[in-house]
Amino acid sequence: MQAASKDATEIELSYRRYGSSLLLFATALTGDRSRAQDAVHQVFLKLLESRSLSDALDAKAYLFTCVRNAVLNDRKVRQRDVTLDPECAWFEPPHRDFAAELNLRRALWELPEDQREVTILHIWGELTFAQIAEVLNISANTTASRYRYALAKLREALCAKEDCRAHS
Amino acid sequence: MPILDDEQFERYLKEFRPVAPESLQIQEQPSPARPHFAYLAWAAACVALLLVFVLWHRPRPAQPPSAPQLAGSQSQSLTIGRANALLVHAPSLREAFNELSFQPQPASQPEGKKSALAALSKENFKL
Repeated sequence: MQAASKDATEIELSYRRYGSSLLLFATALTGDRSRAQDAVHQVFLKLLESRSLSDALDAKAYLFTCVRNAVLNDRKVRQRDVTLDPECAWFEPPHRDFAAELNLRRALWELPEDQREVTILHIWGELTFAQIAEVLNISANTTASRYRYALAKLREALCAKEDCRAHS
Repeated sequence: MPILDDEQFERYLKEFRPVAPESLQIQEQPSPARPHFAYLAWAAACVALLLVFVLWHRPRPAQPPSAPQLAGSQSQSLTIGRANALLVHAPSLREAFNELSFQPQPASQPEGKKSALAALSKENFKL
């Protein structure tokens, strides 16, 4: 009974600690916050039923893998293309700069999905390249390479948007 | 946006905090006290059933072999028909009379009926 209670507490702590980055990751894959929220909740409710988080060697990487699988399964069931919901904010921007938030969101959405995944997992999920490689089932070198490409594209896109804003 | 190196650009990106998810709706798990109560209720029900079973199957006092034939007559008045039946089934005439003599007699017979003893007293038997 105590072990089960400890597992539930650990799962709830994980939700509080990683919930935001998991939701961002799911939103970046679905483009839709409510579907992303459903995927994250589905994962945690299943974990609460099975109490299996303590069995995972790397709980954080395991959670991102579960959320990714939930999103991909949902996508298979619905069989429809994902689109970006422009009204749904992904971030709380610094200094309430909502224009910058929209620019970042669009720049991320324009990235190829594999590069977007790596970028979000590394910057906001705070996963190492080795952990990301485990989540995406690719090599660590591929992960690092995708990240470098993504960062360059992001910087280019955001600088271009900033220039536009400065000139307008 | 000024030109930033990778590290500075990463730090800039991290200033954007991901939106927090909605709280996880967890259904209340049954408390540990509830199963105890359920067990107690079950135990009480089992004890009650056991009591009923024991009372139903308790040993009854042994009755004489002729008792089943006379069981119905204990609470009924003795009539000629029943007296005849008793005489037929009794092992001997003496025992039949013995049985008849221990029948509780009603204080008064209904009109048109007379007691078996009164009827038999008019017969001539050779004992």
